[in-house]
Amino acid sequence: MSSREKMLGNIRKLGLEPKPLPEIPAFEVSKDLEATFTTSLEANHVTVISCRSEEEVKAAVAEQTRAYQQVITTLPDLYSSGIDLATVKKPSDLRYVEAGIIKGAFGTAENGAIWVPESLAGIRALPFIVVHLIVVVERKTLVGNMHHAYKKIEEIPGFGVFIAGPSKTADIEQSLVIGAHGPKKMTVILC
Amino acid sequence: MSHSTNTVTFLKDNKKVDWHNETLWWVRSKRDVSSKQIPEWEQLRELASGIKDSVLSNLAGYLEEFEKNAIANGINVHWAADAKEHNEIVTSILQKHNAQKLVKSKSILTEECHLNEHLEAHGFEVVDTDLGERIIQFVRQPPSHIVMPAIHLKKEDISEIFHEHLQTEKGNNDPQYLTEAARQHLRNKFIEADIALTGVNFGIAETGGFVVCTNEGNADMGVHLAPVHIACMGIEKLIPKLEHLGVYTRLLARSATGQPITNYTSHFHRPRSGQEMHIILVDNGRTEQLSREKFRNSLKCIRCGACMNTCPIYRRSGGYSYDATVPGPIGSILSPGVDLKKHQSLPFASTLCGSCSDVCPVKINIHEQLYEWRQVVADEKLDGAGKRISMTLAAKVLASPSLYNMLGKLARKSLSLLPKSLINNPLNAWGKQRDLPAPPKASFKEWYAKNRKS
Repeated sequence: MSSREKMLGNIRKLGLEPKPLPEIPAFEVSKDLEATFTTSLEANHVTVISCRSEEEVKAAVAEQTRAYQQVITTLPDLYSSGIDLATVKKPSDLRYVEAGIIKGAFGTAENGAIWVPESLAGIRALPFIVVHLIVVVERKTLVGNMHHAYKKIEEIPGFGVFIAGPSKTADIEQSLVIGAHGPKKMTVILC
Repeated sequence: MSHSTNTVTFLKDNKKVDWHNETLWWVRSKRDVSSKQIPEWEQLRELASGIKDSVLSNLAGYLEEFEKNAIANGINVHWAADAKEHNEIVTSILQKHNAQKLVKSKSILTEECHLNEHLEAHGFEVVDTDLGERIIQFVRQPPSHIVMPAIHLKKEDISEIFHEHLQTEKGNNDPQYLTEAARQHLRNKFIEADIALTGVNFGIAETGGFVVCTNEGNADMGVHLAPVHIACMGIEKLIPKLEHLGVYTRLLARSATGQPITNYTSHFHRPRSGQEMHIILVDNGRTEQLSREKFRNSLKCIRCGACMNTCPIYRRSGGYSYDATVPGPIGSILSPGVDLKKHQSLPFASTLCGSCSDVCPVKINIHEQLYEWRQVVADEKLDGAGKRISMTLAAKVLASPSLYNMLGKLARKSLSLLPKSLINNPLNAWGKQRDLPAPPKASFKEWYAKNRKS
């Protein structure tokens, strides 16, 4: 008998009565999604830049990336002189990239989590391997909590991630250090 | 060795014990603040528990649903009845790819299966990439906490370890500096890796995918660079639907460290182009635990570690005293199911205060199960002759009012006359750090009889 049959058999022979799944009710969310989203991110060491026009977004991107030589983006309209995604042969080619600019599908107010499906990351490794991650989020996409967030994911991508802040660790005496393996810095441009 | 015997080592360094105790209590306090930001917190715990009830009552059905959908997604699904089979599956995948180097993110399941030792014995290089796990891997120690694996070490210890293994400056204890050294070291390991292995926080039956939560981003760094991804999952990690993640992602990090969500909550459904993805579904005693009605609920655990942070015994005895893969209260109800004889002392490593059950995000009745395991240990006569004889005698005395009265009188008289060494001697463990109070002149019964008359 295969392990599969053995394991399923062990479970089935218990003859447990299937219990129904509970319904998840609609919980109240913050009335000011933008303020809550911003507070959540800032509490998690993310810089939030609020913009009102495309010019402001472009200016913010320019300001954030001024010091860098190596920038990669899935948004060529916002940053034109970046590394061409098409030239990246393997993900480790990105190891020296200083900044990555991507778009988030939507943001979650209660915890700052931004949904990034692989189509928006360009390359799966991109949001993790760059030193400074810049994410553009439209304020009209904001949702209140994680229940709304999961409802908003209509198509499940091969890979997708909720990103709530820069890479961090507290494994040495519970002292917080930003930049464990991934980004040491994260900026959210809210437009 | 029993928990209390093992604890002696940890208790030698008083200052460290205090630090350990206070640090974990601080994490517990952060959990309190964070949970109170959500008005529906108690409702969420109820839901999380209810969803897992449904999973455990129909686990075979959900496993088949998960398998079917995962295969449709292009994931290779393996079934492992025990640790040995799990380790062999991992080895066979490594061999198939001619792989030498493996990077791993945190997985308590692979600790349970002793995967690292197995792979190293077969000549593979295994690198734990979670910072805390890398630290203890250098010194060949197991994790002492499931969320904070190196919480038993001070920064001075870590500085020493890194000086030896990563050639950092001697005496530089700055966590920022030490973390940067680990970052550089591990970045190379990520790039060189042939295979990346991760644990699984949640497997989703409906979609055939799984979720891995980290703050460091180490799971993603490994997986997105390596050509092969192996995910190892205990069969109880399943949840029915994607929408249920809404409940668990709100509870997990808040319960674990007090943060509103882990910085990376990664959802894997299909390998990237050119990549190969495997998932191993592991039993290793779980179906047996499922068959024990009184202990079935222990399988709801989502490994947040909140019960450890709040436990007055864990905080003051350290993870190693438990001598089990999962220490603390939850480990003390899981481990006896795996090896009752070895872990018979663990259900007694508790004051039964119930704080573990109060903080558990999936509402496992941990302290009640600890109490239940004590009955099992006693029934199996594993609790030592001394305790059994004294309990039998105590039961006799307490069942007989005349015997109780007589012995009470005798004790009150003799305790004031007998030498202190009767209590505080090396043969009496109870007397090591304790003194008896001065015996009262009369029992309450005598006092009452006298005072009611007057």
